[in-house]
Amino acid sequence: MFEAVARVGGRTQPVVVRINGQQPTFRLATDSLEKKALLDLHPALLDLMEIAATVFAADGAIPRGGPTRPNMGEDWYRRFDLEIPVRNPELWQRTEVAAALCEAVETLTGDSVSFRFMPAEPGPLQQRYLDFDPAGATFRADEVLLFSGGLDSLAGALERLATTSSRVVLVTHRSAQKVIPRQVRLGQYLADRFSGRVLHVHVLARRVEQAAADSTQRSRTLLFSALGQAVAQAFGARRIRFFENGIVSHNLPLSPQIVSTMATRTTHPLALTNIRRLMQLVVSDAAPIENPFQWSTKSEVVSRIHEYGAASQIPLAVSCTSIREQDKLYTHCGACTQCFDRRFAILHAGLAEHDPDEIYATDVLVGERLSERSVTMAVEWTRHALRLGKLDEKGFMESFGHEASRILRGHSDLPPKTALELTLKMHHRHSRAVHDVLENVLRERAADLVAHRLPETSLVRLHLGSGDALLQQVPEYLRRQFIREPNGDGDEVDEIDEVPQPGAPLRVRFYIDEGSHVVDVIGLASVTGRSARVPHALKPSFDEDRRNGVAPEDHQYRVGTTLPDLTDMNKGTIRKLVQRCRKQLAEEYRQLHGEPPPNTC
Amino acid sequence: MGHNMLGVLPRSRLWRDVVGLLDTGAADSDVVAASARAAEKDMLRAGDDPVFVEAVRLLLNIPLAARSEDFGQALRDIGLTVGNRPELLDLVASAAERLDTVRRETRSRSDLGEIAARALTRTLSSSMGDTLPSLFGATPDDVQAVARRMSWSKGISGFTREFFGSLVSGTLSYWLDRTLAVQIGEGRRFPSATARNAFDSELDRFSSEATRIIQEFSSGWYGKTLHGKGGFGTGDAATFGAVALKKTVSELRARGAKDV
Repeated sequence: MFEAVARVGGRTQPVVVRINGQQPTFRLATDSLEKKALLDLHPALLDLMEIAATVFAADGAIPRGGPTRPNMGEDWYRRFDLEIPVRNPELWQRTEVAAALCEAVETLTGDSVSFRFMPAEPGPLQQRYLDFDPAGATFRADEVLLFSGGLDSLAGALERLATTSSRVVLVTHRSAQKVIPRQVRLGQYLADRFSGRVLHVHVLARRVEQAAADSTQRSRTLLFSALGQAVAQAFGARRIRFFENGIVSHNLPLSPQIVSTMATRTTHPLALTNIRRLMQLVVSDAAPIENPFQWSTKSEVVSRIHEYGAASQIPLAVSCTSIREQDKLYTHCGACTQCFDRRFAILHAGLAEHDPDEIYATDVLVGERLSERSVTMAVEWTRHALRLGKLDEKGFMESFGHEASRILRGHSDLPPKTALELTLKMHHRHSRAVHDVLENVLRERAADLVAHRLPETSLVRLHLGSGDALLQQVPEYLRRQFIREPNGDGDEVDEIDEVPQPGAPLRVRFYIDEGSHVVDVIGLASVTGRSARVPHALKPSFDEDRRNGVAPEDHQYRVGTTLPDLTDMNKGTIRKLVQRCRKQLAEEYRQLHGEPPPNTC
Repeated sequence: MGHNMLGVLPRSRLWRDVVGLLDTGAADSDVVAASARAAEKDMLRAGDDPVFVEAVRLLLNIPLAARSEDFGQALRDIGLTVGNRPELLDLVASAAERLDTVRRETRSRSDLGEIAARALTRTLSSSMGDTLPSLFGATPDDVQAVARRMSWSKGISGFTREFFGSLVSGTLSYWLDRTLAVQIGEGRRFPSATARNAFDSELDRFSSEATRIIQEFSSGWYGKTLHGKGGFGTGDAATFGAVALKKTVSELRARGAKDV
């Protein structure tokens, strides 16, 4: 029996994962297949499925902390140390294999993982994860398509079936009861239309008798890639394809509040590259994993469905993952980014008749948004999309440099410049699509907006305004920039290092910046604001004494309250400011030189 | 499937104060100052974050590497994966990759580490990119020349200031963006979403001004450490990062108290 243990940082109780068998904690199986396998599964592939299932089970077992993200998201980033029995420990303990596995999991989840592998107890090599019928007919496939039943996977399956003679296996995760009937109907549609070329395999991967503590299932891609690889081997397929438009695949942060895997990386180029590398390391003839839509926008993907004559199937394809909010009438919440992506893409592709308003619990464009989350999503998703259209390469790197780096690493087969250009062009096209949809609303619903007939929290009113404040065009959202002070010296920089020496005379610079007094002590400190006003006020007398060659001990004594620039201060305030200035300079001196200054300033 | 999580502001008194200021139409600068006060503790935690420390180490060492005749090798010596003649894109991407490696190796992850990583890539792209003809048009020699300029006293003070300014604005936006959208609408703080542009600009200005405090200290510390030790190790970066953060936070506090 397979039993793995996941020890979790900060918790005393480990997560025990038993897949199938007796007292299982996790169920992994396909529906009964009426076909027989062409080949037995490679032992390393069985190991990979069990490893991926263990990760998936542990991933779902541990919550990621609350939405306030206490201690800067400390609990979001979990730490797993996994002990897993495998058939070939030598393989999995190899440095490059272990590193590739960690990288694959960590990219998807944002967690930190380590693995320890031990020999599995002797027993039957084959686990019945894939329920073949040895007496069934043969199905020789060319490719495996991971089929979620959303618009992108529908478009992808259509494209492969309509433009090639490929025989395909659709692999679908039976994730939620509400979605299963639609997945089945879409699969049946494809099987009927492309007779004899489609086999639909449903996979169940679920915790047993325990709801997931974390329902986001960020490690799911690894598990389904492993299953896809197993199915590919069983049916002789040479390719595995995910279908996800590049915008969602990149899933750039909509706002600075979204960091790390708060934005999922389900089909991120880096995630797929990592998984591909892992599979190549453990299975010599692994089928490569690809995302053919990696450079397409959602609108372009949706257009393909129409192009291949299947627009009537759009209502069956579910994009929304807010399962709890779905019912028979509403299949889409209208409040999540998947719904925004879908609705804008369909409107831009001119396919609105196939995506009735009624399926959205909240109309994406003109519906009233009742929760703060829904309003925030509508504002941030749209701002982000429109802002992208204004970014050049440099602006993109400034805004998304860290994320761009991960995208570029996911396209290591391309020169970085090319990958960046393709990325930027795609995001520009997406931005244009969103812009065009809003421009169309502005044209068609201007009267409603002027007359305040649309809800105040509707997406279009939040962005376009209403009444007298109605914008005449789609708004522009500015790129965030550091505000740098103008460099009066042009590009010339003296090639010197400022090397302050303890006890050396201090050099100071006085100036006023945007109405605020500043005293720079070169290479030591900047005194700003009120603290800097006193030295500024004393400076004319000081300069005069120096010009006249007066020794420091004979400098003029000035009463602070009589100085022209300090008339709004009393004696006590001035004294406090002088003390503060001295304290700051003394402290900074100590921080720099590790010793107190020789004299008070 | 692309899924996005949103955060929620804590219900602490300090954050309730920020929301109160937003609701009552207080000046943008007051809201930003109050949020700086509320985020103060979290910002200071950055000093313990290995990704932040590594970002500071790279911030200090990348310009210094440009003084070498073999820029590529000097960058490789500080842990970046680049060729012999790196362009700006290579430099930014390799710095980001290095931070991901540190995150993995130290098994230490936090939102602050991510914000610090963003601040570094932004600073490299912006500070250096602004003096180059374009991201793609600049030659490797141009990139080295610009990086080298950042290594001298005047350059490094602006360079480090920009990093800490981006860190501050990124951290404050990380919090504030959880609630600003619900301030949009007639009779609210922002009549429409475009009105937030001005608020964001104020936040960026505030962050920029608050980091003036580290400008002189940065150049003095950089020169003194370089001439004393010959370079900047992780310990030096941790020291510098912690002091710069402390100064910045103290300045934010002073500004919050309307002491300017």
